[in-house]
Amino acid sequence: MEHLAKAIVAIIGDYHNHVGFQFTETHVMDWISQFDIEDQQFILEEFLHLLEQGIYISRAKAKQLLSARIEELIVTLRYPDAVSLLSETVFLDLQKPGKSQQDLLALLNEIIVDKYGIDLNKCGTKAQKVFIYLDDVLATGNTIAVHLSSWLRSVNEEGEFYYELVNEKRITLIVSVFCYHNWGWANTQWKFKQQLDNDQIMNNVLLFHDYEIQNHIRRNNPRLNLAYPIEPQSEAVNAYLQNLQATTNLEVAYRKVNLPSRETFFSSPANRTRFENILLHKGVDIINRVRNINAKGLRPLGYTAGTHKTHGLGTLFFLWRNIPNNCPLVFWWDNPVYNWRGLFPVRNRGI
Amino acid sequence: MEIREYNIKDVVSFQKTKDDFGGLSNMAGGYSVNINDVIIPTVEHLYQACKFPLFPDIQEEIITENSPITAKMISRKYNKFVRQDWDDIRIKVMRWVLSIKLSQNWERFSALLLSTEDRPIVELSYRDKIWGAVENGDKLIGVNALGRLLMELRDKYAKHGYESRCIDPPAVVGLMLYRHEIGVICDDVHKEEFLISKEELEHCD
Repeated sequence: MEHLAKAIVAIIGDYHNHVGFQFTETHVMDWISQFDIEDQQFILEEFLHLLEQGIYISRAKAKQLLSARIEELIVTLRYPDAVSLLSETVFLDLQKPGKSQQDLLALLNEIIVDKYGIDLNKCGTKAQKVFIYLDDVLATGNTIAVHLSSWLRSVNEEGEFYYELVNEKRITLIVSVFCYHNWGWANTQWKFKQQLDNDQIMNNVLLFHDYEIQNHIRRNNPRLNLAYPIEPQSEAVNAYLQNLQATTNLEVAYRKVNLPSRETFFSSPANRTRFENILLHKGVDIINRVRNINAKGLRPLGYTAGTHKTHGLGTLFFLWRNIPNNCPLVFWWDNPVYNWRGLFPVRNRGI
Repeated sequence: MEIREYNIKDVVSFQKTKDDFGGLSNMAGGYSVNINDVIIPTVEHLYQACKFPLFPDIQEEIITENSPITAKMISRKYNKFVRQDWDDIRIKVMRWVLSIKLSQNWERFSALLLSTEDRPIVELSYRDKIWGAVENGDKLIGVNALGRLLMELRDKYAKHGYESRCIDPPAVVGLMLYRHEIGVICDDVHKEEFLISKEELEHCD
C-alpha cells in the first residue's frame, strides 16, 4: 500500500504547506489505518483513481487557473488586454477574514502584480464595470446567495441599485469558482429570483468555472461525480437518517441503483457503491461519537442545507488551502477526542 | 368545454408577449417556474415537456431551449412520442401549470390578473378555437380554454389575495420530469433554506 500512499502524496502533497503542514506517506498510512483492514487497499486505489481525474487543486494549479480566468474574461468581455479589464474590475470582498475569498484574492494579487504589474487595490479605479465574486467552490450555493442577494440590493455611490445596473447590463456580475455543483447553482439562481423578485437577474449573474459536479439528481442523466450512496443501508445508517430533524429532499437522499447511466468517474459501478458505502458508514460512525452537534447542516457525507434530510453533499473536490466542509467527514473530521484524524486537517470549521 | 362568443370591446385580449397583457401568455418571459429544483424559463416550456414523461431527452431539449416558440416547435417534431392520453388530460395539465406560474410569480402575475378587472380574458388567435378565440366581425369566437383558466385563477385566488405557496399535482397518472414524479410543489422551501443559511454562515464555507 505504500506505493499508493506515495502516488497520493505526489498529487496532494502541497496541502496546507503554506501553514507548515507536511503531507507525508506516513500521514496517509495513519489515516487509512482507521478503516477496516479489508477496505484499506481498496480505498487508496479508488481514491487515487479519483485524484488522477483532477479533483485536487494545488496552489500552483490554482494560480494557473486564475491566470487562465483573466485571459478568458478578456476575450468574453471584449477587452483589449488585462490591464484594461482589471482597471474596470472590482473584486468583491464580502466574506469574513480567514474564509476562502480573501485567500484567493491574495493569490490573485500575486498573479496580477507579477504578470500585469497591477495591484488589486488599483483594480476598478478607472471605472467599475465588472464585479467579480471569487470563491473556490460553489456547493449548496447558500453562501453566495446570501452574500450576493444582499450586495445586489445595495447601492453604488450614485445611489443606484446594483441589481438594476446588472439587469440593465450597465455592469457585469460574475461568479468565478474552480468548482461548482449544478444543483447548488440552480438553487442559487432561484434564490436570486426570490430575493429580488426578479426573473432576469437569474440569467444575468454569470458563472465561470473550471470543474462541474453534476449532483442535480432530478435533472436528466446526471454524472454524479461525487459520493451519492444507494439503498439498502445498515441499521445504523437508516436510524441516523430517520432521526434527522430536517424534513425536505428525503426522496433524493439516495441515488437509484441504475444511476449514473454510464460510469465516468469511479473505476467501476461496483467500486463506486463500495467506496460510497465506506464513506457513509464511517461518517455516521464519526457523527454518532459526537454528542452535541449544533450545526444543522452537518452530515456524514459533508455539509448540506440544514433543511435537507439527506446524508450530505458528498463533494469529492479538494484544494491546497482547505477542503470544502461539503466533503465526506472521513476526509476532514479531525478531532482526537472523537478518535478520528482526517486526511486533510482543516481550518475554520467552527464546530 | 363549449364554444363561447365575446364582444371584442368588452374583453382583455392578448396575442403577443409584448402586448399590454402579454404577460398572460404562456410564452411570456419573466415568469419562470421551478419544478423539482429545475428552473424552466416559461410555462409553455413546462406544458410542452409534460407531453413526454417517458422521454427525458426530449424534455431536456425543450427545457434547455431559450425561446418558447422554438421549444414548441421542438415538441411538434416529436409528435409521435406524445403520451396517448394527452387530449384527455391537457386541460388539467394547463390548469396546473398556470397555478404554478401564479404561485411562483405571485406579486407580478396576480397584479396582472387583477388589472384585467372583471373583464373576460381571451387569447386572440388566428386559427386556434380551442385554447383561444378567433375574430369574427366584432365578436371573438372560440372555446378560449386558456382565457377561461386564467379567469378561474383570477377569481379564485388573485381576487382574494390567496397566495398558495404549495401546488398539488393534477389528477394525472405519470406526470414526470426527467424520470422523477412531480408531486406537491412548494416554493417556500427555498426561502426557508435561505433564512437558515444566513444563520449557518458562521459555520459553513
